[in-house]
Amino acid sequence: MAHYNCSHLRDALSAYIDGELSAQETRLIEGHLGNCASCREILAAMTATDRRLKGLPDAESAPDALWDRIMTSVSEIEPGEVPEAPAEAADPRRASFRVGRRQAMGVAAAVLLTLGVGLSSPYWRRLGGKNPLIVEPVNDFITFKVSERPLDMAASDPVALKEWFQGKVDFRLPLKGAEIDGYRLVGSRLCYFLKRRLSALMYERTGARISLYVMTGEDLEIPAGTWEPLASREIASFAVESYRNLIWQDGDLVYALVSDQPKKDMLRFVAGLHLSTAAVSPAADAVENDLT
Amino acid sequence: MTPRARRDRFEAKTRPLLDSLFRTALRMTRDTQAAEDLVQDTCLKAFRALHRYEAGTNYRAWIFKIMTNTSIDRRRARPEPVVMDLDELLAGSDAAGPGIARRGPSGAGQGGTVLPFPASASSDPERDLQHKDFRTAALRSVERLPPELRIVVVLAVFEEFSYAEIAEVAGCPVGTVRSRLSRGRQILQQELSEFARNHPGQGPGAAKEPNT
Repeated sequence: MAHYNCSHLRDALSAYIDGELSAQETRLIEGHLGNCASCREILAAMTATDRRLKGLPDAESAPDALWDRIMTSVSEIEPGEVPEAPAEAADPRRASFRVGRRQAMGVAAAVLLTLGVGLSSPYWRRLGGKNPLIVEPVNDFITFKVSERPLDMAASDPVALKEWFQGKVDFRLPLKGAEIDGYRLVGSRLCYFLKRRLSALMYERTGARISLYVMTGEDLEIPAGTWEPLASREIASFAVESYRNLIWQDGDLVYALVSDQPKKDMLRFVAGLHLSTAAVSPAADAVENDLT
Repeated sequence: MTPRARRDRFEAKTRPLLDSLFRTALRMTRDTQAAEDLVQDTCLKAFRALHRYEAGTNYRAWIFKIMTNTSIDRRRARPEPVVMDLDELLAGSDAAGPGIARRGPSGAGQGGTVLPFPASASSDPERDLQHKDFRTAALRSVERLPPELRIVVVLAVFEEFSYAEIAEVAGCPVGTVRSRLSRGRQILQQELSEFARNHPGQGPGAAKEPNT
């Protein structure tokens, strides 16, 4: 393929990184890359730049008050001012986006749409829209899952994760162990919902995922729990869509644990979580002291 | 649909996108207050136009398109100084040094020279590159791209939109998305390499050109 003028392949290489080439173009480019050192260099440099750009800390959350301001202005719009919106009905024939390799967010949007419907469903009405603490962590978990986005910080080292959260959330993560009941810590995300910043920690065990949300408790209505012997504490448990959300409080912090795993596994996880909090390794403790 | 139901529907669809909208607005306006205003405007427009959003289609692309159009309207009202000439960049004229800021009203429809943004946002890139950390320098480089390239880069690289979604948002063919993105990446690569050369040891994995 020496007849290629390689400078014209930049566009294709850029699309190749994004997984936006057709199967045929992908085969052509990969064939060419096998023979062309110069294109391999271009690709390597391009990939490195992309990685560095994507790695810019993504700490630019919208300011806390922005959403409230938006909803306030929205509430001030007179009902007569806006035409009636048609009833929500996801009709696949009208969807203008097909699901392709990089269409994960299209899927996410579709799921959000479903959730949007869900919010006016009997379930939501039963909640009376009162306690988002039950629904929002599950929404976040599903959105994250279908988006196939990377974690903000992929690390299994609790010390590194704590360090990462330092200054991003206004509490200290009470987190010591990298593994709880066979679930390995794989990373974390900084989330914003329930009008606060939360730490979301992701754990995995043979493909199964558990997401632990840690937050401060002010202005939250903590649902009344029942005594769970497996976890040795009071926990409120809710089934939301096909997920379960366990909610409990420990000291000043509120926890929500979301997963599609069996409830007893989740309860064992809770037990392990608070056990490992007690087991402090000297090294982790030293770093924690440095940070505070 | 009751006003309450409409608000709930709007909230369920829009709130998960708030951070993404804000980050993008920040890159487009280069100013926190302007970004907040842009997002708020966008959300109000989306709420008013919710009846025009077609259920089952891509809400994210829809609301980002509203934001892009709003941002273009604002730029028309308050043009920003041209720091890179899009035509020249798209022509791939490497000789002119694509990373070098150009001043003056040479961009189409951008004849005005009002300076609506803080001087630091569009001032001497060389100074920026020398005095700031990698993150700031890299974000400034993105923000110096002409708006047409910038939106494509921001949506593809930071927000991981598909090309089809970006085409929808930017109102251009997918092929244009592809070439603008490639051009944007090339400029950023040059600027980041320059930064790494001037700041050895700074930034994640120093930006060396391979085998040079």
